[in-house]
Amino acid sequence: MNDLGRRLAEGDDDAFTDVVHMYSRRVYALCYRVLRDEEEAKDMVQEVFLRVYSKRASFKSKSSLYTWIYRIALNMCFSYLKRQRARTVPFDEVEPMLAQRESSGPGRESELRAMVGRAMENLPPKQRAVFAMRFYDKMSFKDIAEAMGTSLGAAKANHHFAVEKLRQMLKGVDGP
Amino acid sequence: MKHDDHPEHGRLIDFAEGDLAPEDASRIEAHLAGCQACRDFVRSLESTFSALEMDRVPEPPESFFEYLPARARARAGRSGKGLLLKLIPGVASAALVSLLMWWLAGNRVAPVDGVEMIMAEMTTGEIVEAVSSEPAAGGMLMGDSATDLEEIEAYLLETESIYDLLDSMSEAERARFTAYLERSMSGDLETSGPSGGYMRKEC
Repeated sequence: MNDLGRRLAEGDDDAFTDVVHMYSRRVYALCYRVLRDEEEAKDMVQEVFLRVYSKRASFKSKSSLYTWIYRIALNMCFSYLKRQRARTVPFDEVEPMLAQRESSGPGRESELRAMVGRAMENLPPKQRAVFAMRFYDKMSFKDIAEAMGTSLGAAKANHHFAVEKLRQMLKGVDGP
Repeated sequence: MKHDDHPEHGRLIDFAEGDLAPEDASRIEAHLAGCQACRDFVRSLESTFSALEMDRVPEPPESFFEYLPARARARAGRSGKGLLLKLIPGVASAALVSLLMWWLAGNRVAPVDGVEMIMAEMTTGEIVEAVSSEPAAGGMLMGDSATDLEEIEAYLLETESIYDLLDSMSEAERARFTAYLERSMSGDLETSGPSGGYMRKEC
């Protein structure tokens, strides 16, 4: 356990402040990428650090501090999504979006952005989470597996499934 | 590797992400040189990754992150406080309503450092809820103004965050704003003037 983690677990208030300042932006980004809603992500990150504060004495695992916090965040996001109605867009509704897109012009970038957002929303939450940690957060599969509470193989498989689905949904779409 | 012995898609994904050991990557490259289907697959992966780079995370105001530790501590401390907890929204909404009235009236150089007290105790959602559910507190502070209350609520909902309001203030304004909130939380205010607005006792 590193020094910051030890101080946090011992109840050092300054350590908690440091932890929040160090990780809150990353946790917020993860929550946003899983929930796909800014307000829900802001509420969630507050709940996550409330939980971190309340449970800080229990941090004594071999895991790194940030994967411990990520795990809390992911569990809370998944529980929250489970309570919500299914928010996925049926796959066949994505195709017409591609067919109707503008090939150029000022609206193209925002249109592409919206399509990418919808493609991400269409992934199952766990694949979305794994993909976000890997692609945007540049995490190792070992850390992803630790944060997800799964095996290394399962983390990799989830990532590959996510990439393949995104590739199919975004076929023919070129970035900027 | 023969050209008809295609690598698994998972391997090609790892390759496109630069996640293979050099010798494995070389083998894939050799295969790609003679396999149009796998080249197309890798190219489509690269296009997909390029498009996915466009997915942006909206940035909350800096003060949102700044106040997170205080809010977490306060909310953790609040659990199990019973009646006190129930009183917080009323007191806070009264303070907040008066503060926003002051701000909306354009008195940018008047009242505030107890923002943290409010910020620490309530989420944005709770603040909006408290302001909406405490018309009596709002009316008491603002005279008889349901419209003003709606205006404040609309402001909070429109900006989606009290943090935007805080961010719009200079350091000095924020300091006065906080002092004002501390006074209102401690009851050190009294009604004054035809508008029924609250002012400091010493004023």
